[in-house]
Amino acid sequence: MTAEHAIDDHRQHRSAATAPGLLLGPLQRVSLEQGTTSTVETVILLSLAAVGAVLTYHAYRGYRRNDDRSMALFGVGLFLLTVGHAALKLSLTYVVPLFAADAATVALTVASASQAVDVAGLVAVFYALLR
Amino acid sequence: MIPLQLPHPSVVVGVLFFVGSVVSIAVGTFVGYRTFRAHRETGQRSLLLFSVGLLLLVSVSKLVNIVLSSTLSSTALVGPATELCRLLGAIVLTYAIYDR
Repeated sequence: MTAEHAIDDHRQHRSAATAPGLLLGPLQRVSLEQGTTSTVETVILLSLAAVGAVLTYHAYRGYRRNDDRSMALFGVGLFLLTVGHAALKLSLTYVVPLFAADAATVALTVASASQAVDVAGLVAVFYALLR
Repeated sequence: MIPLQLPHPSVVVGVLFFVGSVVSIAVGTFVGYRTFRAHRETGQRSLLLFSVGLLLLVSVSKLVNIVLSSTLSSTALVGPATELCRLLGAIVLTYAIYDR
């Protein structure tokens, strides 16, 4: 079984098995953050990482110039939301299949880690705005 | 006697995934709204761009994922469309930084 099939099978299993899916209505059929499915998506993710790196660099420069800790937090948040997200998603395609025994579980774990990275990035940006 | 049944780890991870989705949409929308309100108060265009960029980067991309996954039979478009929203958000945020 290829990793792609394993992820697809697992997604079907998740749709049927998760109780919160029943409660959350439309979220039942949410596509899990899988690895990239096409070259176009890979290119978009690499562009996202590049633009995110520029944003992070500007935030870091602002932090160094003004010694403003909220700029550092802002940079960390943007880094997580862009570069962190792209790196996790690309790793699903290119790194996980190399050593994963149970590819579906690892893929699901990385997908959840991607959500956690998003929430952490948002909290950092939010905290930076409050300061 | 009914044996104690623990949920399969993948179910737990699946629940965390859904909770993460909902939380990030909620927090993203809240931060975007706060920034938009700051724009209304100060009239700064960069704050408006920042608000739009942040909404595209997090909330809109996840909502696009949900809507497309629910409506399309094929999932081939879902990934690229979601990531395109994120990329647009990052570009708008970059523009917000230079628009001063």
